[in-house]
Amino acid sequence: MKYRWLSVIVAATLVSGALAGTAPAAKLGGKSVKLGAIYSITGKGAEWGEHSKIATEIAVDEINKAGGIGGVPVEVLIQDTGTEVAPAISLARKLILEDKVLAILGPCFSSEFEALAPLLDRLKTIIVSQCSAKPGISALSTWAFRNTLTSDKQLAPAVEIWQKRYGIKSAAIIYDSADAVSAAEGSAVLPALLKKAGIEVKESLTYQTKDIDFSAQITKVKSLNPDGIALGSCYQQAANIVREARKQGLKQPFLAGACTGSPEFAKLVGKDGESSVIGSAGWPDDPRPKTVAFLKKFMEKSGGKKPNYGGMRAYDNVYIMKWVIETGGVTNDAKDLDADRDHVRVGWTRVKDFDGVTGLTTINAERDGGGKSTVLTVKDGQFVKIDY
Amino acid sequence: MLIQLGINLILALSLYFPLSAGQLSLGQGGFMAIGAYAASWLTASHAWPWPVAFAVAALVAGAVGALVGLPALRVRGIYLVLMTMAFGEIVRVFFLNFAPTGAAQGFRGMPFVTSLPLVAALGVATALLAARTAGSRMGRAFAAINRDELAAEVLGIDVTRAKLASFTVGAAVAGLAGALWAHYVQFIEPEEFGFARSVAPFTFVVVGGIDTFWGAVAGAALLTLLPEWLRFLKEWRLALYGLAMLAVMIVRPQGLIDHRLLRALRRWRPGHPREVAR
Amino acid sequence: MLGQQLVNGVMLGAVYALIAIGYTLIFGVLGMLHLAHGEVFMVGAFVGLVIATKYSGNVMLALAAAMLATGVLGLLIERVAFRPLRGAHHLAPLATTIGAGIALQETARWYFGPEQQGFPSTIALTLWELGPLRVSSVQVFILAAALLLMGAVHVFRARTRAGRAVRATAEDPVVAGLLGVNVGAVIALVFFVASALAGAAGVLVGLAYNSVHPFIGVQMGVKGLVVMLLGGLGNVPGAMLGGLVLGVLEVLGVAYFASSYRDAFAFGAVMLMLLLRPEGLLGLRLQRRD
Repeated sequence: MKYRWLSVIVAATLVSGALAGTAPAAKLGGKSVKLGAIYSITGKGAEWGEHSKIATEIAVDEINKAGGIGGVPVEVLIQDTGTEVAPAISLARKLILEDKVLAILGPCFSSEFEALAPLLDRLKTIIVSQCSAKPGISALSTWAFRNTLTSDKQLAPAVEIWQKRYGIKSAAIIYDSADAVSAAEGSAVLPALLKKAGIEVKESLTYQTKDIDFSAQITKVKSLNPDGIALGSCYQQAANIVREARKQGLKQPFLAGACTGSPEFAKLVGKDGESSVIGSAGWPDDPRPKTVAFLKKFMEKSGGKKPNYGGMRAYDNVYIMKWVIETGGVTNDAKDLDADRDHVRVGWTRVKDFDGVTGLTTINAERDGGGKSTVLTVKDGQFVKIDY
Repeated sequence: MLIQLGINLILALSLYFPLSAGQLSLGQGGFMAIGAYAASWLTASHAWPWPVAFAVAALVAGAVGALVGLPALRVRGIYLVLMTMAFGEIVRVFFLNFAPTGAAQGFRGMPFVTSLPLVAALGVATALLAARTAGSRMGRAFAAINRDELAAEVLGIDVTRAKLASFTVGAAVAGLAGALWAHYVQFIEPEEFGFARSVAPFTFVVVGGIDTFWGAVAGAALLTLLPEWLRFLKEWRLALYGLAMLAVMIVRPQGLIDHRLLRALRRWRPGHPREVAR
Repeated sequence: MLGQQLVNGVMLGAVYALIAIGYTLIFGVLGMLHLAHGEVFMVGAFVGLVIATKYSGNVMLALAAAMLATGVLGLLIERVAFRPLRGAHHLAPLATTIGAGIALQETARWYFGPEQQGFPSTIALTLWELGPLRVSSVQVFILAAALLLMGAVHVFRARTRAGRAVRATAEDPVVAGLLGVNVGAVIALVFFVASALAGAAGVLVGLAYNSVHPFIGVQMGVKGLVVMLLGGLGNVPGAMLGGLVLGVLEVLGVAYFASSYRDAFAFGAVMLMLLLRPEGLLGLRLQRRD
């Protein structure tokens, strides 16, 4: 046949291409692979940062025991942003310019991410958030990535389930207008989703993150008597709101999303929160073997606490970094720093169906994570999954 | 971090002006916020060139300072402290609700302008301003008012004008610090201009020494660098920072730099006669 | 709804009042602001939390323990942050108390962690309905405790010898000293009482709002200063009244306007007060102490 040689060449190319993808990673230069991490270990997001830190340390430990990345140990310089924007920016700068890291893991909070992203075009290093859920902000720079589900993706199935379970026809929204994600949920995401489900929004009330007294808002909601209450809130305040509502005699079921999705929420609300539906981006009790093994290690290190989805995704992100660095043409030589950073960036755009503890991870064209959201409810002080 | 030091320096000096005339303002955070938002709004939403935006921001902050300075004339001491505190908080709440600059979500989009040379230049300029003011007629009027306001009035000093001037200049300088800060971090939000931001320059000045403007410089330097030096202490960093502040004040209540120290330092300058007749 | 909101406001106001009384007592005898008072409140909340958790919800014990602990803390602060600076510039104690406050916050953060913790569900939660109003047993307890403490302070100042010594020292420490009052002891006593009240407020806030974390002292402290001003510097009944006024104002503001304006009411009130009636709601037009 005339084209037999052509088909042989094509076949050979395909085979070698496939082999290259599965070939053992080329040995990297340098003494270690340096990554940076900016986590909110203290401040209002302390639990998210703390879990991310623990998960990252577990991943680094495992990877180094198995030979490191490309035969070279990986080192993650973890810094604390205090859940504040200015430290996030200055620490990122320091890691990029002084410590010369290949990439940065984090930041967790959307406010930090949103402020840092526009600077990346100049700094030319990627950040990969494991928690940030405010829709749209990955668009701020081609160097900004998020391996999470944005609020709208987390909440969409939750709203449906909530409505069906409790026959919700009207709702009140209470949200934190001082927190980026919660404000986006309360003022944009939730109203749109509720409207689509045919639920009437009777009132939108706000509070400020630092507030501890929610009696005024709850009393107002009481006078409106909606079928349900939707929250755009981080878990501490959400728990307080739920308890205040029960204290004032309100029996309505609650709906909440991203920042509420920490197992601490379930612990704090206890019986009061049993008619809550939470949309989240990770299920710590997933029976898949990878997740079970991770959960066990995590609980040992955290003193019995289960990880929030930030912790789970931080773990995955370290492994994805490993894959990206090993298959993306990174040399890890000091002179190739700029090229390597760009390779890492390109690598992350190619992440598809990566098998991690949060399931199969794909980074979509908007540089956000794709996948199915986990819908949870509270029972006996723990989160349990609602199947759908 | 040196950039942050420079901005803190300017902020500390901004408090020095009203303080040298006996007016303690715990509301510099509010003026800083006004300067930051004004400059940012001009550069981000209206693409003004940054030098003009900075100048306008300082002027606006100064104007507000004059406005606040007027009722401030009527109160003294603790009452002035509380009034300026309240002012600072009101500014914060205002920007918390002001939609055109992002309200609670914060404001971004300003270009990166604040480089180290710029901050250094403006820092030195501000310090020079403070130095020249101290030696000028106005500066001596401030000192007199600080000592004894009634006596100063009796001596013919226009107390009202002097106090207003010190307040206004302090506000304008704080506004400049705000503009610099905004164009360094490229993201500002109302919460960061709260009480803590007003307390910071106060601690710089008191720990550094309230006698002269050098105290503001020393205090800003020490208290900005200290948390960085203590970074190796990780969790204990800020606790020790607080204790350090406490300790310095107990050991040396007049602050690090006072008149005596300056005189002693001057005697060591080459060419200065060793024996100075007191 | 208005009635219920008023109840909410009174609850909040009672707590503000307890903190403000402490500020105003200290200002009365020393003429200085104690900017770590909010942190004393925070320590009280944590002590109460620890005791309540350990002794399965015994609230009275928690209150007593917290008040004792914070009283002692107050004595310590007076010794360390105020007494050495007696002759120094009048602004110096502001700086030392700020430093002390930071140290306390960070120590609490190190020991307890930065996250909020809740009191164990101690008092059996029963809801009583009085017409359109709904009041919980927790709220009643808090209000009763606050009123009791305020009453005790009032009786102390008006009827006891020690109380009269405190008032004399507040009036004029030099003359009081000349008249045989042990001014040093009086100041120490004032710090103890003021701090104990703040500690009690901490436990009550923990019970009411379930948020105990190392940084609750900051905002509470600022509000306490505002209330002190509203009521008149150095004026104890004024602090009680001011607290109630601020609590109600804040709650109504949030209910009828927006939460982001919450603080505006407090500070707007301060500005107005300072301009129109600087001596406070109950203060007398006397020589202002600068």
